[in-house]
Amino acid sequence: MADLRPVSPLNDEESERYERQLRLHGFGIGAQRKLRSSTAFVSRVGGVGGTAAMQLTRAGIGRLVLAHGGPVHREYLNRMQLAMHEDVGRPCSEVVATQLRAINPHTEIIAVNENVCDTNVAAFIEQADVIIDGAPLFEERYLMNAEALAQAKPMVTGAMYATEGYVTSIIPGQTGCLRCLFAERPADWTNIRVFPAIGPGPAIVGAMAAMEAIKLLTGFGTPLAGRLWTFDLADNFARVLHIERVADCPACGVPVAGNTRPA
Amino acid sequence: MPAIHIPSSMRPDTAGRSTISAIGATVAETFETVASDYPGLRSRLFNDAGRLQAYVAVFVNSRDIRSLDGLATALSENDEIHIIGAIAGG
Repeated sequence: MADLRPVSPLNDEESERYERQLRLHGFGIGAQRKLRSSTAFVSRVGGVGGTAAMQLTRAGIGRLVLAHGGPVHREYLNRMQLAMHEDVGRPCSEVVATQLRAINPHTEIIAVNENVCDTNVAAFIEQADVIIDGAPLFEERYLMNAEALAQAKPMVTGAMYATEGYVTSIIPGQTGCLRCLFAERPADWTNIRVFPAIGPGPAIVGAMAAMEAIKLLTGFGTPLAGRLWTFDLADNFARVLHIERVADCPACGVPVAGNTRPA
Repeated sequence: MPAIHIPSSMRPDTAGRSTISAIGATVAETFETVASDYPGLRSRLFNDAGRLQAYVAVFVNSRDIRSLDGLATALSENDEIHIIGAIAGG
């Protein structure tokens, strides 16, 4: 939760560290303090979540809670920005936490060697002001979507496949949710090895997700609320698409007879 | 003809093409043309009941067709259709 204690001014080291972003029109010291008083929960720290965590750490978020079970596999190294050759076999959460602490000692890093599941999702989200969803399984994404709605927490969802990616910000009560957009997962998305990837795609998604979190936490700029930013690096395609709330969405809607999927 | 942007996950069924054009006065008619030209797309777009798959979202000129007239949404010559499939890669 946001730290409600009086916010101390930035010290000299912080002022120098964040000098470039403090110069952003509409950002400034007020936004920097809000960021420093905030907690983000990041689900999985691979190509998307790890990049988001890195960008939030560099930007000066106060606290990050990271959830990722299992070790670094060699095939993660093409997209996991903070994993090194010698990290293969070490827990992903520990590897990323070590790097983040080295990047910015002002950010508190809480790393948990677990993936989101139905027994831990509520506790993870209770700790956060914003959720970043970078999980490679729909089951985890849908769990976070439901819990974020239940706790009225904003969630940034970012995903990629091959050279494509998309990002949107879900704000409970205001925007459609993940189930509004996709009520079910594709039948063949049964494990984490189904998606091809090359580093720049997830890095872009993760960086965009971090910027969304910064906007949501500080009020800077205009978040992708109700809009889906999508791209394909293979043919330089990019669009912002308008997404809708679905009246009988199984997660955030009011049940009605029938189904709003187009017939 | 309206241009249809195909997501990566469906390009194996369009011989790798990321954009295709198809004749049709509505989204449904256009998709029917597409499914005739590229039969593998039919099951990716529609379930056995003939409804859009729940893991596919369709946009015409950046608007979700659920906010328009669904598959009956009328199309013009220069309209852009975007098919977005659910993905979860990280």
